[in-house]
Amino acid sequence: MVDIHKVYPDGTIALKGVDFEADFGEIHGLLGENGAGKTTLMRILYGELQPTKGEIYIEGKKTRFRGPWEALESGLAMVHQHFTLVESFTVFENLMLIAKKDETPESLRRRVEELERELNLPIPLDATVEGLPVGVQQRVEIIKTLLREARILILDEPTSVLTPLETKELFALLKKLRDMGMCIIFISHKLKEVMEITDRVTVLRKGLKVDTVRTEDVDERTLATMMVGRELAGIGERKGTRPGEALLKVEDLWVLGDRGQWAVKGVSLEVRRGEILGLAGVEGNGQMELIEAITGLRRAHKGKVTLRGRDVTNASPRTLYRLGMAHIPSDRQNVGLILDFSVEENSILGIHWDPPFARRGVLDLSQVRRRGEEVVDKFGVVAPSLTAPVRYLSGGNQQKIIAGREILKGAEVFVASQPTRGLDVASTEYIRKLLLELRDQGKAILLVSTDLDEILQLSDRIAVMYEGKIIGELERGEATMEKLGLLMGGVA
Amino acid sequence: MRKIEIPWESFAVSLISLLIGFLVGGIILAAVGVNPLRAYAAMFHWALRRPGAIFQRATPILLTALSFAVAARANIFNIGAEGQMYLGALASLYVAVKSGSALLGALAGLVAGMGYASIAGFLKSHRGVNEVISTIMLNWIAFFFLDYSISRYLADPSRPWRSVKVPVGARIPYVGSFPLSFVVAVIVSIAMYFLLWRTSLGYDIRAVGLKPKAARYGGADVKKITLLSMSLAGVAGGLAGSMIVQGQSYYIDIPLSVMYGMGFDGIGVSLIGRNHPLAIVVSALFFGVLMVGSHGMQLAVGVPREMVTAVIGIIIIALAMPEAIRMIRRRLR
Amino acid sequence: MNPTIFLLSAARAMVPITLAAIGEIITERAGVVNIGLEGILLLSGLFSAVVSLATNSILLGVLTGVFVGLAIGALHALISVTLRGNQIVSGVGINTFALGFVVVVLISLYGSYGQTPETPPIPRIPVAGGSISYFFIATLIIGALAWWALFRTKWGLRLRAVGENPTAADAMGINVFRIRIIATVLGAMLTGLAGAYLVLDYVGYFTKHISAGRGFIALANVVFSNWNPLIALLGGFLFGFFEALAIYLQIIYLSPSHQYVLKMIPYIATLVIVSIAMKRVRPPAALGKPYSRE
Repeated sequence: MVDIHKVYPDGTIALKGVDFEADFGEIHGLLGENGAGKTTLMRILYGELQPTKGEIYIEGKKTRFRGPWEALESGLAMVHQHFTLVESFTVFENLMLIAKKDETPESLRRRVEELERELNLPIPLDATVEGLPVGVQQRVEIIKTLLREARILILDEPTSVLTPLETKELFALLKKLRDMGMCIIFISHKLKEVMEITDRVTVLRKGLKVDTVRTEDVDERTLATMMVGRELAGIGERKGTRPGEALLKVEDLWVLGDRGQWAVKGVSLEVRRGEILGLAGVEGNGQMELIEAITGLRRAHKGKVTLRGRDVTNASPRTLYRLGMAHIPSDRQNVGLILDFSVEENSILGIHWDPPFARRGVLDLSQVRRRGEEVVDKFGVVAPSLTAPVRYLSGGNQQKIIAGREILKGAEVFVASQPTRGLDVASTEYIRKLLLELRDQGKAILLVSTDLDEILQLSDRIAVMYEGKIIGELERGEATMEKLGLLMGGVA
Repeated sequence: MRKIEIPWESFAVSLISLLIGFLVGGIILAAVGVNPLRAYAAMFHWALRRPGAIFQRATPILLTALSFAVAARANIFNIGAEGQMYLGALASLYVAVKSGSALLGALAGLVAGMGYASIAGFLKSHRGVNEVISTIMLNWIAFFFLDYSISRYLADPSRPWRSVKVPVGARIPYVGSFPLSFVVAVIVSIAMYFLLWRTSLGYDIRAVGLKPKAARYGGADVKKITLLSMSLAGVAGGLAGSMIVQGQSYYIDIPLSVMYGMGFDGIGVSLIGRNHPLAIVVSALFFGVLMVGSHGMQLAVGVPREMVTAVIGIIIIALAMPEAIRMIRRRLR
Repeated sequence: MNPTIFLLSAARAMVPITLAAIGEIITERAGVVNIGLEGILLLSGLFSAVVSLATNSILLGVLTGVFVGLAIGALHALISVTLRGNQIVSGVGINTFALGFVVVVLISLYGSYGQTPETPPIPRIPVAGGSISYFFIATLIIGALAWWALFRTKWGLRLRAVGENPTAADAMGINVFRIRIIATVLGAMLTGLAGAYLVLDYVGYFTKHISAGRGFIALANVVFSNWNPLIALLGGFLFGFFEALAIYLQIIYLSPSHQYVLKMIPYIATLVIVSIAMKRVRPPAALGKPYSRE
């Protein structure tokens, strides 16, 4: 792949001229933080996205796939983090779906059994997919690509959903496939795994290629530096604060994820008055489930949450808000806002039963309007009118409405999840400034972010989450990019 | 009071759907050998000379449309207004006859409709039963329940195929030919509008209908709101029955011909009014014109009144395809 | 009344509910809901009567019923698949249109407000104590065939994949739109066949009330069957049983007011059965959701 550029329709620049090359008979790691452009690059290769600029050569031949089906025809396959399996079907039915036209069930079964023998890889053909462990589902995805005679296999964060044992099995399989001459591209952010399995590594950072190196020539430390890559940029002056008492306490919390697995495994943390606790970690390590459990959107199965001295384990969102919690959710379009509601209506989401906006359940529209104006004026929201649906606002303005709403609630504890994701530079700076101001006012803030810059810029303390646990906690002074990079990669 | 903004986009979609309905209806008329222009002219001519009848005809369908609209705001496809109306009518008749009070009669209808709709609401919120199936079954059950109750307990001894009449004191009167029951229906529309847009509960209902996840984040109990929306829908549906029996027919006949189908008509009324309680008032009156006018059309050109139902069906089908209508609109520009 | 006659009566009652349900299962397995079954029953029933009366041919009548189903299915597919419209609203529109349109046709062709003349007699298979309709046999065969096609062929596999996870199906190179359109049209054709049976065989003439909620009972049967045509045969028999029971009891209890109570039986039974069944059934995951690429 030569000089690949990608600009998304909404203006986000994902890739700024990346060269990438991988050979048959190797496992090639593609390493980078969230948003570095790893997945975008591979989706372009796979034909799911079209590059804005750049050329792709496969075996020396210039190629551009119009869609994944063309890539598959040419022996290139990709296994996504979200599998393309029909969950209610059996494994065999899923395999039948991709079988060739003249393939009979019998011949397919024979081919699968052959593969099973060759790779020493048991496949429960007649089990229903949704009942299978994720590791086995992934194996099915890989078998699917093999049945289509893929020779180039892209795996997007394949271990993010696996248990350690499953990971080991996957690695054994990948090595076997490499030895059979396949080209395997392994997208990951986990340093240990990249060290363990790959032959070469390409590191991306913010849409650019840092370098391609032979794995045996580097160590985890070097890779971590390449991945995060910079010295801290302009933290700026900040007032020293002396944190007060703990306003939010989480003790040994266990939470189930959507797939029924433990997503949060005994997390404990404390957020004190006048501090920002940054919760870092690569996406999908249980942060979302943890935050949902704390804010009343998901049941916690074990453990305790205390808000300003009161036990609020599994309390409803409304109770939590009334006790002084504010929540800036990561999914602003589906959770934080009702897109078809107006600006002013969204300004009171969550407090629409409380005075002064409602008295005995009747809305006071002049108060609602006033709050809408306040949100718009104080937080610089650009909106055509207060009655315009927020659907038509830019992401930055949408986020400002949420932030403004939550701040004006007058809460003591703020839970902010990915508060600047996808925002332009100006809005990002603005939201970060707001969070620092809140801290200076003596609020307790739990900041969840996958963006290390943000974490380092804002946090007084940093906790890193990895596979459902807090793998390490650092004071502001002792945090370095390198340490964080190692922790996020699972190296404690 | 705030200025109400008119959503022109919705308005245009409704208007184009109406045109399509009349156009295809015209083709059908021509196919059965009738001059469509003459038929439509006869329809409007007849109707517009009978304003009282239009208001009378619009009253129950305005209320059943509200039943559909309130539930639709919570993203529930409530086609049970028909059954809610039946039970409301029965309860109103019974209480009005026993008590002689118009108010008590109407209240009874309201409560009966609410209770009946709550069954479907509960089955949806707590058992996951699709509301389309449950409300249709409940409609039929109500239908035969009324037949039974009337023939057994409320039959007029001299005319056993229909019920005794609501006493004069418990009727909802007319001013000239203008039915006051229409005023009741409009008041309910305004109340529903107020409820949906001026109360915290209405806020929750609309939030649940648009984005259950965000509604939950905003503190709403989605199951409870779902059930409650159906109950509210039942209030309007039940009152539709009350207005028929206390304001128009004064009795119920055995195959329920005094109200049969008016619950279903409400769906079309509501869809054309874009499920907005105030816009529905206008579309109910428009339906009133069509339905009253259908008599004139039948007399003038011999096409059965049901032609109007067919036209309404086409309008609804057209309303199901906003994409296509948007395309037509772009062409027209 | 002896049990044979009772069973035969249940067998007669089950045909329309079952055929329409099997059709709807095919449609819904591909992810499309069509609640316009009631309207299709009415329209196909009417035109099968019209054609068989005009030609004196039962066969042409049946074919007409199926063709009417095909036409409405195509319209519904256009709205819900191609135009990504609201499937439920479209179904309501079809039902409403049918309700009015059949009367217009009845009047203009026969000058009657309520019903057509009697259609030509239909041959049946005589058995001890009564007769069995060829449609009944056909229903059993169609049920088995539909099951085989859905669960034992590659076509069925693809169809179900489209209804479960259209995005994944699309990624595997399956034409989601084409499959959905075919499933919608095919389903409506079976409902059209049901309408023809209702008129030509079950009742012997067309009345504007002939469908009597059977389209919706068929929808309930779809849920009951857990979207499986074989179980839909059983469900159809169950629903038919309650209908036959209601008719049977109406003969015994002559008091008219009691008859109304008995008429509620099939509907109450449906509601109860669906409420119980709902706990263990599982609709296709993408049911009712229009699909578009991004």
